[in-house]
Amino acid sequence: MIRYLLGRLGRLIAVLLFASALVFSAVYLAPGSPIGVLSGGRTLTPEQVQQLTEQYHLDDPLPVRYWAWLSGVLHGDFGQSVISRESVSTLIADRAGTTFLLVLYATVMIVVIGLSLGVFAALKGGKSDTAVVMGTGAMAAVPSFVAATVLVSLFAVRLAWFPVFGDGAGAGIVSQLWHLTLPAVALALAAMGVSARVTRTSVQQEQDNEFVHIARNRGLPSALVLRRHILRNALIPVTTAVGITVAGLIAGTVVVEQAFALNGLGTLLIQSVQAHDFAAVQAVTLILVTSFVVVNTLVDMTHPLLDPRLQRWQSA
Amino acid sequence: MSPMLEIRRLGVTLRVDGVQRTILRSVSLDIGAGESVGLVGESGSGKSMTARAVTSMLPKGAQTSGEIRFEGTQLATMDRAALAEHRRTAVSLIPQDPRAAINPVHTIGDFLTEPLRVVHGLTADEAVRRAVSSLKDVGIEDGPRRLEQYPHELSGGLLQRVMICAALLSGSRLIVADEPTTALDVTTQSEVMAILSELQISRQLSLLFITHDLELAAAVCDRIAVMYAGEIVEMQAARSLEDAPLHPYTRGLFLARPSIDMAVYPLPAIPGRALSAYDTATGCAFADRCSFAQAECMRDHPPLQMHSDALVRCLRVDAVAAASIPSGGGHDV
Amino acid sequence: MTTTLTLPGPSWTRRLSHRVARLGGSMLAASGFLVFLALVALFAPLLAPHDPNETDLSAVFEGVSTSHPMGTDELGRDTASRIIWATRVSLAAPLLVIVFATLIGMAIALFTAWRGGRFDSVCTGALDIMLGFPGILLAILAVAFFGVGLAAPVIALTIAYSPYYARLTRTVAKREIAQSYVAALTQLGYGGVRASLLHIAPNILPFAIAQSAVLFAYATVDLAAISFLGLGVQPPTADWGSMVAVGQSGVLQGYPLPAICAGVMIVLTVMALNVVGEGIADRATRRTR
Repeated sequence: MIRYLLGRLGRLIAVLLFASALVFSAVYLAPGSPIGVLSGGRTLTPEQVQQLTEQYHLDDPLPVRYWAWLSGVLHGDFGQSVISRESVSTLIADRAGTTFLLVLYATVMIVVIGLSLGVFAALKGGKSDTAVVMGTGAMAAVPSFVAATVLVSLFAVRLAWFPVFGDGAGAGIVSQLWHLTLPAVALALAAMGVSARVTRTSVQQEQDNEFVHIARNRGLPSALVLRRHILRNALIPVTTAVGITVAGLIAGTVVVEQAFALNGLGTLLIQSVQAHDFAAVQAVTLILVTSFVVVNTLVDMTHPLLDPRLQRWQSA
Repeated sequence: MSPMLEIRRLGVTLRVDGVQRTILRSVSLDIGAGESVGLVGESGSGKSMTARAVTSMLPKGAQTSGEIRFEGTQLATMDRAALAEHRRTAVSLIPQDPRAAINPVHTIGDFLTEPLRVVHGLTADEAVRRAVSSLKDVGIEDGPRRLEQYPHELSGGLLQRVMICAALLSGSRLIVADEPTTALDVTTQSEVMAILSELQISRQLSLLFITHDLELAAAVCDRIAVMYAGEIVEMQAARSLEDAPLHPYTRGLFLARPSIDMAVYPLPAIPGRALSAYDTATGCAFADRCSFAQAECMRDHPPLQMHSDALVRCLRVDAVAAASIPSGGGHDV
Repeated sequence: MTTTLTLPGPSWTRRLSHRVARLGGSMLAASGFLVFLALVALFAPLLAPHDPNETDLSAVFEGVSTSHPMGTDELGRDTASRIIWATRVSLAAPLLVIVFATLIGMAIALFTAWRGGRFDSVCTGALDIMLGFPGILLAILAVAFFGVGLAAPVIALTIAYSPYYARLTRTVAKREIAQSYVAALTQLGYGGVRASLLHIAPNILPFAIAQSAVLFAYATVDLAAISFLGLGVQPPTADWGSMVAVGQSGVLQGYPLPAICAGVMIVLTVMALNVVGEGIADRATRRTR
């Protein structure tokens, strides 16, 4: 068990190192000199050039530069934004909350609605099942920005039930949730469709297991059998699929925040890309990728907890 | 005294690839209290389906005809509560693959004690105590440790003993063992069979033992029924079946067994392949593989008839009984 | 004198219609739709009623009419024509990604499977690590450093998807290489490259193609999202993703039609690809059962 955890941790670190190396080296892969890239084509004063050279250790060999950057990052120092002169970490700290809340909100929707739909379809069967299959098929095909467009046009513009823009930060948690509802739905819609499908297939398969029949024959009440022998076993593939979709939310948040003009990490990323503010681009990309990988790893680590066969204990 | 289990003209059809296929033609069988009956046949003979019918585990879409009576009451007439009670306490199944029968994500202890706690209302401690003592009965001494383990940590033989234990704990009067040792190696096989047989005799339980191994059935059972193509073709006391098999199929099965002290060249196999019920045409199902077959065998479907103390489904039984078991072509090793 | 009797086999039209009839209803509809899209892309100049870039500020945000089957957008351009022309870009870009990812992935897979041993395990580990990087973020990063337009995102997504194909085809490649015909080929003196190209690759290709439908859908969504963010296709070129973005102003003013039409095209394409992908997967499992 310990060996498994260490293995997963090792893999996590390897991926993060790879990702950080990639993000870091992008500056040097881009056409033009590093100074040109970092300045975004702007003309700089000699002092600014000197500062950038020092900050990025441009006179030092590559591994030194990478290490300098990485150690800075691990201390929370992402450098300075060329545009706003603020430290990038401040920019990030301001916006991380909104992104985090949005992703959390969407995750709750996926788990509650997606899983319930899947279980309902698998247990009911018949016409309800067909309806859910078709519905989730349509849901899974709707990209978040298309969902955003439809939702805004229907619920915000026409019906005015929800605000169009803004994240309601600073006006209390209720206002925040109200502002984030449409974005969360847009973000979660496709993932809800996928999770519902996976749950449905999983429950259907577990229903047919011989030990389920035997459990019923032994007199166990159906609610108990459902809970402990069907759903409990279906959890394993379901958590994998939900984990993958939730990790995908982290990338999807970039699109949704842009669509709803939310003040989050995603919009910061896009703004920085368009403004050629590379320190910020590197920092935000690194944070998003790290979150993505961490979520995947956490989900992977739940597997042995759910399935004893993966625990690799020595059998007697 | 009425038999514990009475099966009368049981017929089962299954939907296979959109067509209703007959798996069991008309099976009639009695098992008395404390009696062990073997049901022997090859794949496709319908023996497993009979087991499932008795334990109410027929697959979806199966249609049945005929009746099954348990301790005098017809299963079909029981109301839901009575049927549930019947399944819970009267009959237990020892399946062919114990790994498929136990949920892999819960412990052995959970498997054994769950019905005790949930259905019979025992406390966790009482249930554990009962389980540990029951495990001793099947030869598992370190009960408390085993209860904490998961199914994948136990060997096939141990798992079968756990299944037997579960059957004992439920207080079943009839145990249906569906090829319980087919997946086990020979040494483990004899261990498990010994335990099962011993418990059956000491507790006066009835046993329906399904197998393809004629010798094993003869060793364990009081009576043996041989099945072919969805119906019983011979039923005799185990001892007399070994001495004098009356149906050509049973004879063929005995003759085809390689013997350890006699070499026979070539090994007399039954020509052709075993049929399922839905493959058969008019007349006797075994006719086109039978060396005793005559014109009437191709035409008329033989009924199950008494012949001395046996039941045989053969129009030519007198000729078969008169023929001696050939020993020519063999020599002592 | 001999008389030869030649019985004609079923004509190719017969065989094709037999094949088509065996497809399920939904598979048929989905594949038909995809073929239709391909035709629209090919014949765009002939099908579009208007010039997609022709603005007409007197006819802004018009509704559905005979001259404008999908109305007009905020610059008076005919939405239907823009949608038709956009089909080219919106389908060609993901197609490039899939084709190149398949080729690169298969090449990597064949190479590591052939070499085997530690090289193989190291490579597989590396591929696994690369899979940990989400495609769209890589594309955004690429655009940041290499400029807007479709080139950077397409290359980035190709790189992001290749490990997936490599992983997939590697398992199949290993199986194939273990077969005896490969040993026979090496006996005959075939080098790794020749054996792979001529013999092994054709056996692996069907598996890769089967996965492509679903990955094509992912690529379509990812690229449309990039365009939506303004990082892909640049105005005035029409692409479904950027049309949704550009249509946002219309949505806020109560004229969602241009954005919705583009959005619907994306959804229908993805649905069709998903149905085809599932159909292929079903067929594959049925055959191996």
